[in-house]
Amino acid sequence: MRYLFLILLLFAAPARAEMNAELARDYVDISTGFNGETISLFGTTDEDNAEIIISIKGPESIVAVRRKGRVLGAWINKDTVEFRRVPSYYDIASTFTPDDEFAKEHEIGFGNLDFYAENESNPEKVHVFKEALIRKMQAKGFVPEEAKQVRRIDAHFFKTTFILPPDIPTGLYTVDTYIFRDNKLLGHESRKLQVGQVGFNANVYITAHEHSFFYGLFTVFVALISGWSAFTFLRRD
Amino acid sequence: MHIYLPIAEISVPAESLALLGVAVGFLSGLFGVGGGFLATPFLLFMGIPPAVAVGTQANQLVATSMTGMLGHWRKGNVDMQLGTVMMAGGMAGSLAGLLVFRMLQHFGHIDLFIAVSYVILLGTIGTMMLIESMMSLLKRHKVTEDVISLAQRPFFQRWPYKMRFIKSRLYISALLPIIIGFVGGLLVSILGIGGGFILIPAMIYVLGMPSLLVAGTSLFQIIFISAFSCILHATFNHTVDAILALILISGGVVGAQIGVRAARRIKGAPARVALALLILAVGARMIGVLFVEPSDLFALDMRQ
Repeated sequence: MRYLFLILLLFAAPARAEMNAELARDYVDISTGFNGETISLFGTTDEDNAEIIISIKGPESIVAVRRKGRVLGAWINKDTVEFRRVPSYYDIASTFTPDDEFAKEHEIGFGNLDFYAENESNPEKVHVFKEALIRKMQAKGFVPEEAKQVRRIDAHFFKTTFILPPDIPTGLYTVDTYIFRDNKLLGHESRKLQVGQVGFNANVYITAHEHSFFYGLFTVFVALISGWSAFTFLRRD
Repeated sequence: MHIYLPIAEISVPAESLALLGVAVGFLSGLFGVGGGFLATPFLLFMGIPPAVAVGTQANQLVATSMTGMLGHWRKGNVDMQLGTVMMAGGMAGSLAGLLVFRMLQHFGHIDLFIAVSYVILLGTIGTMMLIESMMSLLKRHKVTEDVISLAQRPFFQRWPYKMRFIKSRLYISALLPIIIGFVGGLLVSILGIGGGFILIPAMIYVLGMPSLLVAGTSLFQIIFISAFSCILHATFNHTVDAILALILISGGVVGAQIGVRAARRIKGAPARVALALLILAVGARMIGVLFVEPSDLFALDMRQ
């Protein structure tokens, strides 16, 4: 009986695959001329032709979804549902199209993530607002709709490329690589990607946030000087 | 060419920003108005967050009102004493405005508030201006200078804290210019406009100032109020985008030159009709925002 149990346990234990996944670059620099960028990930696995899913997730934040309603003829924000832990950006690449049940179980796809509404209990309302959240995030380009491919270079070596838009939210991103076979998770690797402003832009941002009073004084000073020089040097008489 | 704005944290076409600056500058050169009423709605339309649009506008106002004020200063048309009293009210107003702004933002009604304020302000001013300019265009009647201002009525004569304003030749309660300044400060902090088109009529009809001194004095105090409001927005909201302001200001300098040149060829009354129509058009656009059913009822509000 005990042996049987051990044998069962042996079979039940998930088979772990050897895998490696690495970003070509673990940072995205946003400078003044930033107009979007591509980011590549390479990976290897000892499993032959395993199914691969790679997701890229922006930092999580609170998003308030507001619905307009008619009050005295005017359209104003009437209902608000706040969702917690919504990634500011989400994209996914895979070697296959996962079915709905599988996607739900493994939280694949923006709609299957576990962000939740805190101030609303009516499930129908939450559903409607969640649909709107997904639709608006897609419209903003923060959740690209088009499915991306993970390219197999050979049976063990794969690559994928994400295209990041010009107005990508800044912060610390997570890139997760999952390996599946027959709908079973074999391995998982996680990498961080830093998306942030650099150089002059970063200096402006940091100064504005950390020395905000002096930043304000400085901008006023610059404005006064520009106003004064516009008068002095471009006087018409 | 796209440019990434460090505080707004979005990438926008630099050309359209510069063009907006030129348009605003053109208006200020041609009519002597700040043009903020045009800039704020357009910035919002380009996807710049309301807080950044208003905060940055306050900065741009510093530059344009400085240029405008210097012109009046050289001709000696600035009543510093009255301007300083108005400024006291204005500082309080912009502080109150900032608090109101933050409150509305928290409850998700800032867009509504901006739209309603614009409709009321622009609708009223535009209509009044249109009637006045049409009348002068059709009848060519003389503008009566000796209107009896509110301040001269017995009720207001009894108000306390009477002050003598030597340059404007007024002996009125200091509370009146303080109240007018307060309203101006509210407008700067909440709507990102200098409010010259409210302050100027108020200074003529309420205070009874000589019309020669009005524009310079209102610009004089707008410099300080907008500078104060800009520093408040920068310190408490972190919403003053230096790059955005710089592009708008540079465009504004160019536009103002074109406007000033155009002003020499265009007659006063037809130009005022055009400005009135423009003001009404912006107001109508805002009415559309309020009353036309939006194509999408939902909107996202991302918290940092």
